Amino acid sequence: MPYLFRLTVAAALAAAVSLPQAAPAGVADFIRTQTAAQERDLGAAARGMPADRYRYSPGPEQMTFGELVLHVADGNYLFCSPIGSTAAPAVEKLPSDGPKDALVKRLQDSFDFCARALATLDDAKMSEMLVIGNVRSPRSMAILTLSGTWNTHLTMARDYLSKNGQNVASTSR
Amino acid sequence: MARTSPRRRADGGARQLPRFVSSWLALLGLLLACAGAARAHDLPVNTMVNAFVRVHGGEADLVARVPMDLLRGVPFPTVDGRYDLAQSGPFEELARTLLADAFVLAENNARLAPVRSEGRIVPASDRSFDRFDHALGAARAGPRPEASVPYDTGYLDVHFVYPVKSTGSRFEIQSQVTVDVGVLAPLTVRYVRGDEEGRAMIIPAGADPVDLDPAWYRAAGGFVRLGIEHILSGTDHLLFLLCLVVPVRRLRAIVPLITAFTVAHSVTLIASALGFAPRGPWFPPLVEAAIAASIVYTALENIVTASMGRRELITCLFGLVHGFGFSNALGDSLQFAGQHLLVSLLAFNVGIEIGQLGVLCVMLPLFALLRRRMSPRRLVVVLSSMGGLLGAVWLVERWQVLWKVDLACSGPSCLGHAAPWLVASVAVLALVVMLSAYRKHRTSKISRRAQ
Repeated sequence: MPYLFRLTVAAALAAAVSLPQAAPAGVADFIRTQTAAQERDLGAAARGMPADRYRYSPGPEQMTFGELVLHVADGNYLFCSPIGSTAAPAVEKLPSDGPKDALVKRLQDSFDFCARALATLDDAKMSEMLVIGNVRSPRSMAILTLSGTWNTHLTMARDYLSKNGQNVASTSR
Repeated sequence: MARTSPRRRADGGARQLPRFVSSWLALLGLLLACAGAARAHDLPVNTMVNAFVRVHGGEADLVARVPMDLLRGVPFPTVDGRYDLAQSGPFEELARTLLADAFVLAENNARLAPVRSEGRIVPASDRSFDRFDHALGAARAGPRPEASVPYDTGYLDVHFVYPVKSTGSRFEIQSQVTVDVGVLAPLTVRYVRGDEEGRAMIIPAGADPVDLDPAWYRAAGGFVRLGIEHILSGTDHLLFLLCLVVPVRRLRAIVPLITAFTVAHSVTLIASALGFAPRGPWFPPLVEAAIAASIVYTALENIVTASMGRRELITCLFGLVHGFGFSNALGDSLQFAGQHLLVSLLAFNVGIEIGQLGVLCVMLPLFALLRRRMSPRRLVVVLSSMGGLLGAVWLVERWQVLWKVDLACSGPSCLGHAAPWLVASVAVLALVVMLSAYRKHRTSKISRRAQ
């Protein structure tokens, strides 16, 4: 009997080990949280800038606010598509000096796309090589870059708002 | 035998001129395109990742120091513009998880997976990465909440432990840390064998895996390929070679020239790689300027005088200069030689000779073909004037670089004070030699006429 019990326990343990285990969702959860936070903060910044200041640029070599908003939206499609293994939708080309509403909508749509693409992401294939633009990068590094560029662009957007006398605190978390 | 009438000669001349001009322009365009390629050697500002790898007792340790500004994507908490180190633990763990995918350590081509990791944020002033044992000790020491690290400065020190099958295996490393930044975020890695630390290897992010301790034949093969690639992409060396051989019509006369060039550049290449060359910051730009001057001199000599009397001597002198140029190119790669410095050095030289012979195999039949379409003297003048023009452009550019080198120094690099004057002296000397050769040539011509 004890022998049978031991055999049963051993068989149960072996079965448990051989079952597919759910990959920890640390990095995937992190980028989903970041997506939601940046959608809120960058979206608030884009909405907070008056329409007539969308052509503002701190210097001749720097992007206008409209270009910055469009750049973030383009980056979202560029990165979230390979990271989430989801084809990006065909979006029509939008001029960076276009109307504020169109640019804000483009930004919002791009974050919505990221949220959909990253919804089922898990940590199982973080070392898989992706092609982003013309660069090959592991998925984890693409996530690090995407998150880093959001942080950089949010800092820039808040700087633009501040220089135009807008309330930066209203766009802060 | 019908004589060519003045009209026909004039027509012939008129027909020849556009062909002459078009071929000149085509070649000039090609050379200017090459000049553009040769200029593309700007040095980026590096954001270096430093690492040590040690394989010891069934495990491999990778200790790396990653600049915090490469980890902006991780939202480390901050207080008053400084990292809140007491609250950073989960974010350091996230950063280590991300970095575990970015450092690719392989044993016999099979990627290893880390079984544990640890690390901490340190200020930029931390000096514990001078040696492996110090770096390992620091990464294992745990967090330092009392340290003050301003945002976007300092480093994240990480330690990954990988189980290995055998210490005798072949180990390779590759960096994919912020691979989209490429050469801006290279990995400097030192392989620790027993108690001995190997030479530092600098690997651009995204580059192919690098053998941490290569076998001699692997190192040699890589360096032969590197030598071939270097000579084929070295527009200035190729232009010098062109100016050197274009006036020579007999293969028997080319062999001593090429031999002189090969022997001379081998001497300085090997001497330089073994550490006998000056180390001041002025030396590489001085060599680059002297290489440009060698092209200008050889081209002018081709145009001014048809005499090849002292060409072997001049070739030998310029070969010494080009050898220093080769060694500058090799300097960045010799780090990958492992324990096989001399073998790799000789292999690089063999690669250069193979590339040189390949270029001559194309160049010499092409010259023979062109000599059928225009007079040999005109071919020499046309190609040399184009080569000389391009060499002069490089000389001006490189002179400007040399002039900007910071000469405020102490010790041996103070020789840099003399560098621009040295180049000027060489240029004046070359001019004097050339003028004297021209005078000698004219004198002998006049005396022949008189006779």
